[in-house]
Amino acid sequence: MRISESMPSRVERVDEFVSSLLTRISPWSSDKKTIFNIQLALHEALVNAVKHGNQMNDGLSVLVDISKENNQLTMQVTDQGEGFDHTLIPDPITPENLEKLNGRGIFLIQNAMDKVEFSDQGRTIKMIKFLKGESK
Amino acid sequence: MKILINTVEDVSVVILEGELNVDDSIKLRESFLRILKEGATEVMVDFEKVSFIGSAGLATLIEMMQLLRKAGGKLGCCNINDNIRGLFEITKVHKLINIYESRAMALRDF
Repeated sequence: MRISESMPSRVERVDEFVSSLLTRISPWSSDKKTIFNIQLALHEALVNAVKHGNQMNDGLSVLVDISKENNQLTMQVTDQGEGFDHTLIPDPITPENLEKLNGRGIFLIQNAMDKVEFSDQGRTIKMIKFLKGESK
Repeated sequence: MKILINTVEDVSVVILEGELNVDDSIKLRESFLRILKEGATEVMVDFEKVSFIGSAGLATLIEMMQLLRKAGGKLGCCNINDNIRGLFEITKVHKLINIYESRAMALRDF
């Protein structure tokens, strides 16, 4: 099973886009926490791609590729920006960063997913979730 | 997202319904700035009907807490479901904002 979609780099389109993807993914798992974590990871990855990756440039797109094989869900989000080094993002739960208003997106994705990888100089994030309550 | 604000014994109770995502975090921030301008210092956000929150929503809550703290007031959240509570704990936001099991318990403490 595979879903491949793209969206323009507009933050106001993220919620609607995630919602449409989630409608198609939700039948793959009956576990509410799993679906919550998938929604969270997709949401954060898309916001990052639109805001930080494509710098909200309307002429650039964000590509999403989602596949399910057995109980493994793989989601890839790719932007067309200049890339970034994810290792340079400060830890948002250290005391000095706790009250900062930004910088939690990648942290939330890493906690919501079972495996997260970056490639193409940070333009692509690959997120893997092993599905609980797997439906067919 | 629906945002309803009631005042109960000087506490502004912000009742949310829906998903606290990017757009709705902006709406919540605007509502909050309005009640702050009107003099609110004690604010309690009821999450009973909230099914989702992302980093934008967390950031809005932290900013609300900071502004209320500056004004000598405080922010509390109640009726948080297990998924959202987990998010608060992972990000340690629960160390910044008072969390209550129910609206009644929150109002007793305020």
